[in-house]
Amino acid sequence: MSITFDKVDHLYGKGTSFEKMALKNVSFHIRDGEFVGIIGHTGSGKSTLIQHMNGLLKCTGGNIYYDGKDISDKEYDRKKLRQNVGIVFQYPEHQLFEATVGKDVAFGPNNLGIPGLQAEVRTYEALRSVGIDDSLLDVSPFDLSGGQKRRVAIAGVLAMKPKVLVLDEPAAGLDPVGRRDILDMIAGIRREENITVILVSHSMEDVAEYVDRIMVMNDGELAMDGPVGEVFAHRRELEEMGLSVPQISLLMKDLEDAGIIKDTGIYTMEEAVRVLSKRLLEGSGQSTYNTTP
Amino acid sequence: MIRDITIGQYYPSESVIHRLDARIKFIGTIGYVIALFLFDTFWGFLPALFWLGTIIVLSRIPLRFIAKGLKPVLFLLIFLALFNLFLTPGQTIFEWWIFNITDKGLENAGFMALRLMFLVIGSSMMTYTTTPSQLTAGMESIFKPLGVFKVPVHEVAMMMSIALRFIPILLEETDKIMKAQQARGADFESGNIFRRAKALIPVLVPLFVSAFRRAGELAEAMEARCYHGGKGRTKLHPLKMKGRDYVGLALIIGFVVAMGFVP
Repeated sequence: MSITFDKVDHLYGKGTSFEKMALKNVSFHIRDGEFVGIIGHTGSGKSTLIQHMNGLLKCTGGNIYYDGKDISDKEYDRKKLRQNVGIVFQYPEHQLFEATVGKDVAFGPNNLGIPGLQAEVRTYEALRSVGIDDSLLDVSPFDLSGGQKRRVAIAGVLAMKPKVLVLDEPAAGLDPVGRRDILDMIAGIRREENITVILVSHSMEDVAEYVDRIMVMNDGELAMDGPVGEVFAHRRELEEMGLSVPQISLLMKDLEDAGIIKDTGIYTMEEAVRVLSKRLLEGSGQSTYNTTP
Repeated sequence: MIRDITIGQYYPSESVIHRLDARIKFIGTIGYVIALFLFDTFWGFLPALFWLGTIIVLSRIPLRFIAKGLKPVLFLLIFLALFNLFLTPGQTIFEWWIFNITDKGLENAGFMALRLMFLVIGSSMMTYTTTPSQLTAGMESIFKPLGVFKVPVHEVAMMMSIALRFIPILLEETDKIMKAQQARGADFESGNIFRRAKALIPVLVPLFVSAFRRAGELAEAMEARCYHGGKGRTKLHPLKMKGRDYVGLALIIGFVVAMGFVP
């Protein structure tokens, strides 16, 4: 399902001293099945942007199309839109409220009017895809660990079977292992369900490894939009926006400048390992560089 | 939206009223409230309007923002006006079925509604123009004499300013939770009053959980900075009366006394 923003503006607090242009002339098109990362500094308009995608915020200028239809149309079915575009907000565990994990996850399907048994099946499926064991179905969500709570909250959105999944800083506040686990899980869900995923983050490192395309927000404007390698090539501009490229790509750039490797635009650890080991093997036939004794 | 609630908020701006000593503004507010109860004819609203209007103009706060502050009391305002309208005995001027409007009722309804509006706007002016920390310092200083009667003045003032400070935080939190639940298909806008009340459970439960969490975190943060109540506590910005504060005080006294002479 495609999302199109056409010259979208958003003005907060019109006519007060809090007035702020949160989005300025933002235009882009996200195709079906894409894995997109939205990156930006705190207050760059990322969160405002995603709230437009399911109609929680209305743009004050421009148009937004979902599947070619203008979502600000009076006849547009906004409930359907919220089902199709699932948004997982920052710290989603703060929205848990039900007495049991199962009931909380079923909240979304119930709101959509999905019959009991089918809602139950969806609850099971959603919990399984986030890696929560069935034995926790009847446990209070408030008794779970932080990481588990977040997974349950994500399952709450997945149970609505969205075609586009938007996640705002899904790894915020987790330890490195937890971050990796959650992001791997999201990538896995994307593969299995074959849905569009939009990952919002301020951390390049998190996003680089997973997404295919990066959109950089700066001060309410869409500053860059393109494939990961292309965006990371603009290191200086990114640094001016208070963003940095991943550590590994800095190292690889230095190696490239020193003439040791020829590959450019490397930003994931796996790729770096592959390139470097290839380089080591071909670099010389001497056994000192050989990785296998 | 819920973020539109402006009651008890601070509106940052540069103005004489903003710079005025918090104690003067507090005394001024109390004086103004007393003055509003000193008259019982419509004539009294003229000087009150002049006083309030001058303060609003001086404070440089947009009228729209002030008008928004009336929104939460709108229901109370209508309720009060209707009760006065229908339940005051007097000369009947309009009659239909069981409804009976009297001249006195009409007068009372208008008078009460106006007075409530003046009360809400006037007392909001203090919080619009005073930061919570100034407000605490001001109240603490004014009520210090009560300490003789073992009233924990500092603690009460601190609690009040924390409560005020938390209004915007909790409103923002409510907004966030509502959005998160709306993203899961929750509907707060349709259905009868019972349905709507029930629809608020998914908002209220997380809100209470987060309020308690925040309270705990704040208490820990305060303890970590060695907060131990008011005893022996000094101030970074001690309150100091300046020339304009004395002028303000004189004007306030003048206003209240003058209002006493209004029929």
